[in-house]
Amino acid sequence: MTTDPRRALAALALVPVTAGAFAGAVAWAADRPAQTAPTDLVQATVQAAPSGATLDPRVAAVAEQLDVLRARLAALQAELAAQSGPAAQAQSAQAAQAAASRIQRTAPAPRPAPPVDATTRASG
Amino acid sequence: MSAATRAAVRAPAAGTPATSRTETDAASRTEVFRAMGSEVTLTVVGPGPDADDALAAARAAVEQVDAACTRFLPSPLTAANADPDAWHAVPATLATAVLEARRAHEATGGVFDPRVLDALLAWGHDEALAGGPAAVPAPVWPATMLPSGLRLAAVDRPWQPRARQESDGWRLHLHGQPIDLGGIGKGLAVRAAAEALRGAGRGALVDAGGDLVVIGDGPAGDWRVGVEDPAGGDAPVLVVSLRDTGCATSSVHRHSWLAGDRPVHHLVDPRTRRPGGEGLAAVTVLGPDPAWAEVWSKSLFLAGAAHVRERAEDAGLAAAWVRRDGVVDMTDGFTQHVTWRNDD
Repeated sequence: MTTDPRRALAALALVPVTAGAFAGAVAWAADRPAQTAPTDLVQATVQAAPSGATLDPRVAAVAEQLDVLRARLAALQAELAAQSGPAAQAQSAQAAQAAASRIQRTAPAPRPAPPVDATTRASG
Repeated sequence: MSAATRAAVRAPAAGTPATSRTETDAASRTEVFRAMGSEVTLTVVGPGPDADDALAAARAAVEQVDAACTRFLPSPLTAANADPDAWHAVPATLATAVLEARRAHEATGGVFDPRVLDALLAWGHDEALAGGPAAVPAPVWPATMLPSGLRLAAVDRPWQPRARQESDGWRLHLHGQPIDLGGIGKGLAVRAAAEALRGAGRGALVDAGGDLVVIGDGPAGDWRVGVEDPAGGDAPVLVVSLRDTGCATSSVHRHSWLAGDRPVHHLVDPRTRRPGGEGLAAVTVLGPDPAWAEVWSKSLFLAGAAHVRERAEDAGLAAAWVRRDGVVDMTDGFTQHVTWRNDD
């Protein structure tokens, strides 16, 4: 699979935003009384979380989604490092080498003299 | 016939009939002609209504100094040199030139000394200038004697020529020895021409073969002046940005020859009677007055590579110099004008 590094970086940039939104939602939900949640969702979550006598099921769901996103983020970072990292490094090295070569080629030649209006010389 | 007079008869290079050309466009007017053995260029940038008259007056000023001070054609100076122990009726131009040269002699502690003429002739300067043999005979004279036969002590005393203005003109006494005003004459001519061009346009240039003055604007802002490479390279060693200043260079580039098998040049040190400036190839000085820039460029040159910086800084001069090994150096006052240097 080939991934455009710029698109991957854009996706990575969106992950923390999304995660932040989820985290905000988690914090908001944790502050709400349990009885305000819809009954069907509460029941389903309670059943899925044996230790969740005190855990809001919506919080658990959000936390689970957050874990998924974190895993996806780690995977994307690894993929990016594997695909574009070495290439970028090589590209940088090539550019640096080319620049150094240009400098080496041009250094011995002095800047040409600018045009002058007059010249002071041996006056006799 | 004195040595000076013989030289005047045989040297054809200077004082030749002037030929000239004029270049005119919307942005400037330029007049080029020969005088004082050099090509002289007068330019007015952004010429005003009086530019043509100013150019004519500037040219006349240069030619007046040349006619009075040349020693290569019969002139008031050659007449005075022929009998340096007598008073002579001379034009004001020569009298004031000699008085200015005396001031320069005093200001430089005697390093500037127009009495080096006989040594200059003995080293073969005029034969070389006239395109003589590849090598002229080396002078031979006792260490205590001058080529002219005068005792060396005669030039150890300060030079004190006198000039006075009488009802019918100026009188001049050379204090016993023939002189060469080559070390200041061009600067005086450039000074006079610059005065004539002042106010003739947005800017002006007087360039007498290296001694020059720039006034106001150049064709593209400040005037851009190159400092010639004394080794003969096509590119200048420096380019400076100038406005309202004089500039002069003393260099061995165009006036070197062989005396016997010894390479010599025209910058004779009055203290040794020999070509001086050990280790130096050229010195350039910037200053408000072109005549004094010329005086100081020669005096600094004679300080040699070992002492040129000390002398320039003591005198507070904006000066740059090129050593024989090609190294370029300068005082802080000069550095601030440099916009380009060949070893960048």
